[in-house]
Amino acid sequence: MKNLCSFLLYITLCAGLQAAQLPVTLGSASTFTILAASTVTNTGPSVINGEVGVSPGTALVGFPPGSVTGGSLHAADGPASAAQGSLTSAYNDAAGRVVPAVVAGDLGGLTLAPGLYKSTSSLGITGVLRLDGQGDSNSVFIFQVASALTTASGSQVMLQGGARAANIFWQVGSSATLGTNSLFNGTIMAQASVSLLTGAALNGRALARTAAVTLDSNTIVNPGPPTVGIPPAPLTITCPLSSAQTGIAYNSVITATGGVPPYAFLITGLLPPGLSLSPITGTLSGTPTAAGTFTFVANVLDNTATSASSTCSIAISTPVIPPATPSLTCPANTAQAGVAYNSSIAATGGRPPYSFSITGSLPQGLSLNASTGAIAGSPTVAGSSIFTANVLDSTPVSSSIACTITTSAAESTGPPTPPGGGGTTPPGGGGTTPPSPVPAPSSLPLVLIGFACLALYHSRERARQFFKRS
Amino acid sequence: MFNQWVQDQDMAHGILVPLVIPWIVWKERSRWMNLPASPSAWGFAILAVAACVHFVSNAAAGLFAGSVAFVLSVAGVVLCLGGSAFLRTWSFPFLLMLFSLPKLAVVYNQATLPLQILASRLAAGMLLAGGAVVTREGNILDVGGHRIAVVEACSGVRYLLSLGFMAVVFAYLSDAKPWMRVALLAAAVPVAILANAIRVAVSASIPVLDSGTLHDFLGGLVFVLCLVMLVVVHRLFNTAYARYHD
Repeated sequence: MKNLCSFLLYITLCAGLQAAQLPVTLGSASTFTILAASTVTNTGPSVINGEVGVSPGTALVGFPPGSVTGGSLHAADGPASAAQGSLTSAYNDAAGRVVPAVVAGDLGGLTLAPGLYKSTSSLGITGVLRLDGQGDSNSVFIFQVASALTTASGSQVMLQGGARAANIFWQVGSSATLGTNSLFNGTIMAQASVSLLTGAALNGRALARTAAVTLDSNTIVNPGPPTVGIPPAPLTITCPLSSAQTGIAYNSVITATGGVPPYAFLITGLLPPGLSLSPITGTLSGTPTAAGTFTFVANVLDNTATSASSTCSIAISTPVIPPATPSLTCPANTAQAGVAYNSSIAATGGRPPYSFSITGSLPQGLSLNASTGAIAGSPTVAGSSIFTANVLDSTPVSSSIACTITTSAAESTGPPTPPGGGGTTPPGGGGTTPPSPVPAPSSLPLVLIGFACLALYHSRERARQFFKRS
Repeated sequence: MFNQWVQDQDMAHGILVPLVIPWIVWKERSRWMNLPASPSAWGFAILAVAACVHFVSNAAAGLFAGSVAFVLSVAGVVLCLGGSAFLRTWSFPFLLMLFSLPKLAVVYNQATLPLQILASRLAAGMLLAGGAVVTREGNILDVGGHRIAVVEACSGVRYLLSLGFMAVVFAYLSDAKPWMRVALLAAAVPVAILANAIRVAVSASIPVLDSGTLHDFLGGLVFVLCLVMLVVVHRLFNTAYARYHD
């Protein structure tokens, strides 16, 4: 309900747009960030960018711990006195502006267009008040507050649409108080005093005509002199990345600079298939689906209906995909001597047809079919054969895998192979050890041995017969 | 023939045959010195046959035929000069001459491979019976990774020829019965095959014995074992013969 009311008020205010206001002329007071009539009292490590002055009073208390950058302290000196004079003129200028839009109560939650606003009593800000410059960086906001201006803790005055703090003026009939940790934009010209509670940040000025300015651990930045009639920078547009690849996500931004944000983007012509444009952010994203060079016109429209365009092109190429490497699977790793073995080196992937080869040795009795990868035959020797199976596809891309075929002993010639290879595995693995021939001795020494034995035998027989006769 | 005895280790025992035959002939001198010479014309016929065989040998048949021609020539000469009585008296030395003949290639080539396989099988069986882990691939034995090949020279032919010769000589010296020579010659065949298998099995199971001097020593030792087995067989035959005649 509150949002609805705020929307209706915004419409009402926009519908009754007053004549555009000129900035309030601050004169010599524009360089003063803090200006008081009686005292400036600071607590905590406040940081103030710009001049700090008091006049006709002379008390500048709390510096340090407060610090001043880009200016100095002025205690009832000439600049401070002149600034007070300029403040009076400025205050009166702001208070004298006519045909205001009437506001009252709490401005929190509203979005206000540039113009003159008047509150006949006190005014508060709770939450967020948005000041929308509507694309005009020279837009001016002037608030006439009959009595006090009070912002709640944590409240914010946000700027958008080109609104600038230098062109926002708060004419306060009594005193202004900025809540703890609040954020405020604009120049406060208070009839009496200005108080910034702990942690409040002010992008503007705190100028008090008759009383004090009180600070507590604040950050205050002088926004500079009001701007009038400064044209925005020329609107330009930058093309997105000019290259992409099919099947690979593309994400680039059509960038706009200058002009008056926000921007609206649109494309004339055809985008590469698969890409789409976000008209708000200018992001061009998607996954291209077709190769080729696509030329289009990127257009941008800023908040003042100024447009810019640029002819862009994106070359979509087909990514070079490295050829897939065929993968290999070893053949069955067990065989038995004397038993038919039939297995294959299996290849997948790559580009068939394949050509197979072996580095090393297959078990004796097995052979490879180079076209199919089939390994067949009947192993003749027990043992393990370690070899490398190779495949070459038609790309040609090759791949290898280390394989082992362990051939167990034939069942008919020995007991089962004991663990660890037992006694049937030849040294060096795989039946490659040449067997040693075991020839019988020459028959001549055999017969000589035979005769020697025969002589011994008959000597023994004769001796036995001799002793028998004796 | 002499070259064959020198070059072929299967036939190296042949060099002893010309020494053994004269010794036997001399030992038998009492049987032939008083024989009357009665030359026979059949001797010329045998000489003619020997000449033909020798001719064929020179033409194509090879060394074996030539050696047979030589034996026939000697027989023909004995028949021509002394007659058939001398030939009968010297029949045993003549038979011993057969052990000096070169191997008949046709028979040798047919016999060696079966003998190799038989020796391999028997050796594998012996080792298997002894608890060894054996793999036999044809004529190759693998015992605990130690591989040996039962090649032609291991086939047992050497044992067979040598032991056959020794069996006949042993029978001649130890027994008066002529049939005993044939019986022991026949017994030498299985004994030689069995002994060769033992030799192969031992060589396969003890790697240090598969070559070199130790291997030759093993071969001699096994041959002695063959002779012992022959003696045992001889006694068995005699025992059986005695029981048969009792």
